[in-house]
Order: sequence, then C-alpha cells, then structure tokens
Amino acid sequence: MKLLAAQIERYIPHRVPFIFVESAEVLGQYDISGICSWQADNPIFAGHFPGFPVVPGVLMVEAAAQLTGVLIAYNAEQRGLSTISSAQAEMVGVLIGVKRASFHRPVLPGSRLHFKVTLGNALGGMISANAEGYSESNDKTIKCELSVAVANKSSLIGAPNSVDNLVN
Amino acid sequence: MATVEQVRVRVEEIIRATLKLGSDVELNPDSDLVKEIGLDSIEAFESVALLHEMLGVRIPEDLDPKAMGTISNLSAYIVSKYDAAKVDAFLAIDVAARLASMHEGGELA
Repeated sequence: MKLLAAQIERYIPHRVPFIFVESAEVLGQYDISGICSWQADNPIFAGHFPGFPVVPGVLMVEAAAQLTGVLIAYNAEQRGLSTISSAQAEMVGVLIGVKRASFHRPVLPGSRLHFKVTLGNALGGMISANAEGYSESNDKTIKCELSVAVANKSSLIGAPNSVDNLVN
Repeated sequence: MATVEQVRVRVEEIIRATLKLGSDVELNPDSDLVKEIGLDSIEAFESVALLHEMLGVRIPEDLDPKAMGTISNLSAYIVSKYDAAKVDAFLAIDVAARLASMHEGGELA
C-alpha cells in the first residue's frame, strides 16, 4: 500500500515544519519503507549551522520514528482501531527509546533519504523497531533501533511519574 | 528437560543486565518487578523484549504483561510456552557475550 503526504497525515499528527515523511509504502504487517526529506526553508537550518546547514542526526531518528508511527497507525486501522493523527485524538505515539544510533554521512537540506523500518517486539502498547536510511545514491546514512509507545495524552502531562502511565 | 530454576538463573541475568545491577544486589525472584524491584514500564518492556530476542522469537501478541510480573513468573512462562530445544538453547546463551555483541552492532540470531 503506497501512501502519499495527505494519507500520511491521516496516520500521524506531525505537521510542517516537523513532518519529515514525504511518502511511504506499507510492505507488510512488520515492514514499511518511506522517503523522508528536510526542506531547505525549514527554520532549523538557520541554527544548524549558520552558513553550513546540515540535517541534525536527531531529526533523522525522528523521521524513522514518524515512519514507525505510520505503520503502527496503519496496522491499528486495519484492525478497526482509531488512528492517532488529529490534534483532538486522545492517544499519541511517543518515542521512548533510541539505541545504537549511527550516522554514516552528512545529509544536506533538500536531500531525500530512503528509509526501511521493521517492527520488532510489542507489549502493552510499546513497540520496538529497527530502522535504516539510505541516501539517493544508496549509501547507508543512518541506522538506529527505536522504541515507541502509544499513550493517552492526559496520562503524559502533569503526571508525577509519566513514564509509568504510558500504557494505562 | 530444563527446570524453571535453571531458567530463572538466566532470566535473572537478563534482568540484571537491563537494570545494570551488580551481582552484589539481591533480586528476589518472587518480588514484583515494577512495584518492588523498581523497573518502570519501559524497563519492564525492554527486559521482556530482550528475553524474547535471546529466545529467538517475537513476543507473542497474546502475552499478558501482567502475568510477567516476577522473575519466577517469567521463568515459568518460558518453560511452559516453548519447547525443550528452544529452552535448552536459551540456557546455553552466554548473556554477557550476547549483550556485548549487540552493543557492538552485531546481529542476534
């Protein structure tokens, strides 16, 4: 199933200037690929870095997390569950862990990365994933392992120990 | 045939690795991992996920996280859920070596 920008916005709540998934293709229950990009006019480049704009590594991790979120929400929709894309939705996907992230080459504004994400273990609303991103010339650019959780927004804000309310 | 007690030793190693606990810290196998030992929900997930990675399987979709509350429960679950060959392979794992391999970017079997 191929997903373009408008369809992707049905699955995740991110919007400009913080949505980096341009298109995606669901390859199966556990696998998704996608094109992620960072437009040159994104205000982040004014500061990272002045006169030498490069995509921050954390935003590549964020792109992988967004693509992971697309697949989780797509799977939820396939099971008849509601998606988490609207600002009014009660649930939101949050990044809860990043392991073994490596950044193999710089990414410049306007570049596109081809990501592949595979979902791993899932339990109690928490899900792990492996992600790899490749440049347009097919050079490995980023690898990381992520964990995300689908959480109730009200449980995350103002809770004395928010992390333990993730899946309640 | 592996016993729950043999498996418990390996599960405890994995919990210790997740929490980075030294061998001098006592872990009661019947203590609640969250309420008594102090794992938060993310650490509990990481522990159960790591345990399944070492078993070479995905966490079953129907697994009840509430039934995984103690090291004893986790050990009993492994013995009852997986066949003898899988459990024996789990017992043969060198947890420290596997974790070192994972941290170096090596792939799990």
